[in-house]
Amino acid sequence: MKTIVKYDLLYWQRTSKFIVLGALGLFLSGLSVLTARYFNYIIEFALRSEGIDIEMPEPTVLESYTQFFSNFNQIFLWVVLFVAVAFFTRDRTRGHLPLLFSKPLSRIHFILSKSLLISLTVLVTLLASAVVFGYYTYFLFDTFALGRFLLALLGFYAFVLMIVHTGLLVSAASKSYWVPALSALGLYFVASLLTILDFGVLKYMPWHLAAYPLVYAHGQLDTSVLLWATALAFALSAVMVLLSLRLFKSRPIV
Amino acid sequence: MSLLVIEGLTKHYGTFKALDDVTMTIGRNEAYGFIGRNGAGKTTTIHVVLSMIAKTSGTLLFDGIPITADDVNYRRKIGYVPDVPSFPSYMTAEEWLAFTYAAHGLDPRKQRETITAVLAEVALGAGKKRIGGFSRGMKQRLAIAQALMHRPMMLIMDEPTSALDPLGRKDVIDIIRRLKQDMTVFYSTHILEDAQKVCDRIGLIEQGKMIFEKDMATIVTDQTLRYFLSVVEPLESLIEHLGTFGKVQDYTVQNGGLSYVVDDETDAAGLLRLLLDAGFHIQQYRREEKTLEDVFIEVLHENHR
Repeated sequence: MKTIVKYDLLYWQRTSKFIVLGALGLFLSGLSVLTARYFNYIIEFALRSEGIDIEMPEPTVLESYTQFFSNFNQIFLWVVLFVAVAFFTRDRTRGHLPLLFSKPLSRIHFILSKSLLISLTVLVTLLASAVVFGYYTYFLFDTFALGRFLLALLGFYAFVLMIVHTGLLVSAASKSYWVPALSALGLYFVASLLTILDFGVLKYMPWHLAAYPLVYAHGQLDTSVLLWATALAFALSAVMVLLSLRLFKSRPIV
Repeated sequence: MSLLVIEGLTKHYGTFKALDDVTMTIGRNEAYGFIGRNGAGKTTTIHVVLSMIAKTSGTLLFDGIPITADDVNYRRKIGYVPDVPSFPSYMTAEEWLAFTYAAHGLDPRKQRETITAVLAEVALGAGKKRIGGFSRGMKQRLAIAQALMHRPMMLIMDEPTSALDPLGRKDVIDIIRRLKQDMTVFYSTHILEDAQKVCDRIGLIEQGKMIFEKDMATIVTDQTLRYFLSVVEPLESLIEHLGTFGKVQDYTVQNGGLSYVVDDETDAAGLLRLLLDAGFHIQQYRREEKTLEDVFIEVLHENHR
């Protein structure tokens, strides 16, 4: 396992994927707070120069949470998705598999290593982003609900993993880059659409994590509902890893 | 004693039979040439032998132990050189070799010296250079080097010279010639000249079926008798005497002389005596050895009749 993780880490390092994701996370964190704090002023200023005098409401910390989860849901998640699928499929699409598996490497370790590295990278990036976001939010709004925000972030993390592991599952059976990428993207859109189904037990379903983190950060959702949806998303990701293992083991290498 | 035994190997893709009851035996420390046309089933056989694809039926034994699908322990004993090796372009040759070394779980303290030795063995002096900048020949050397890191019992080479220029081919053939002193080499190729240079035994596959397995020495000597003869006198006169002799099976005019086939050496001597008695002045006279290519073409022609 160590050998294949080192192999994957070298790719991560040499192709600067870790830096790209980290830089994007930090940039979006800073941008979210600044946008939330000053966007209304910018609008006011722009309109005033056109002769329209409108007074915009004073932004609250909730605007900051809204910007953060909107940016991460729409930009960060998409970038992670495409980077992750490239990471999962590159050994097959570049023709490395025959040489790799002429060595005594386990196919199970091969899949686990990819899942582990992408999960850790996203986690570290989100935690670093949370530190930057929390600091600037507190600095500019004088308040920051750390515990609530971290739980909301946990829900978002589970959602990212669910989408990314859909890509892993499809890539275990596919020879192309686009099939898994579009499948994961498809799940993202379907999840967003399914958020309208919020009655009965359906409100606990993991697809709601497309919206729950923001709703929870705004204080409009029970913690138990968020945690159930998060736990189910983690469980679904684990199932997808197991299915990927089975699928990859049964597929020809060439 | 045999190292690799394949019996009744079949591989179907839907209704297409890629391999049909393939049986072959590869001995220890022999260089086995696995020849056949493109698409004959060589690479499919190798992929099954490497346990990269599942067989439909048949038995594969390596060192007396069955090879199973995704057989990790078996892969510790073999090395593989593909026809067009594909490496991660961002890695250096030394990094790839270090990865290979670790994948085999070898002693980390000897990693450096093993890498240096293997790079020297294949004469690859660009260990610290990124593989993305390598020529095809350099990549092929690296492919051989990585297959040798753990000193395998058997080296499986799938058309290792097919993508190389003549100089690159010669280098790889020289490397194989050295390697076959210490290990079994299973060498697949459609370049018969290369197989003839290095192989002790040959297996010919055509349309997924084994046509024959023979020692190279047998192939070279077990053949019809073909001679080349050139004389000072006009060729027409020589051809006329060949007709008079009556025991020449067929002849062709080439390089200012005649290449002809006789049934046995007595007939060959008889024809020579007849020509000398008739006053011919002989410029060149030699027995022509059949090449592997001649055998290949003959067998394929017979097989398609």
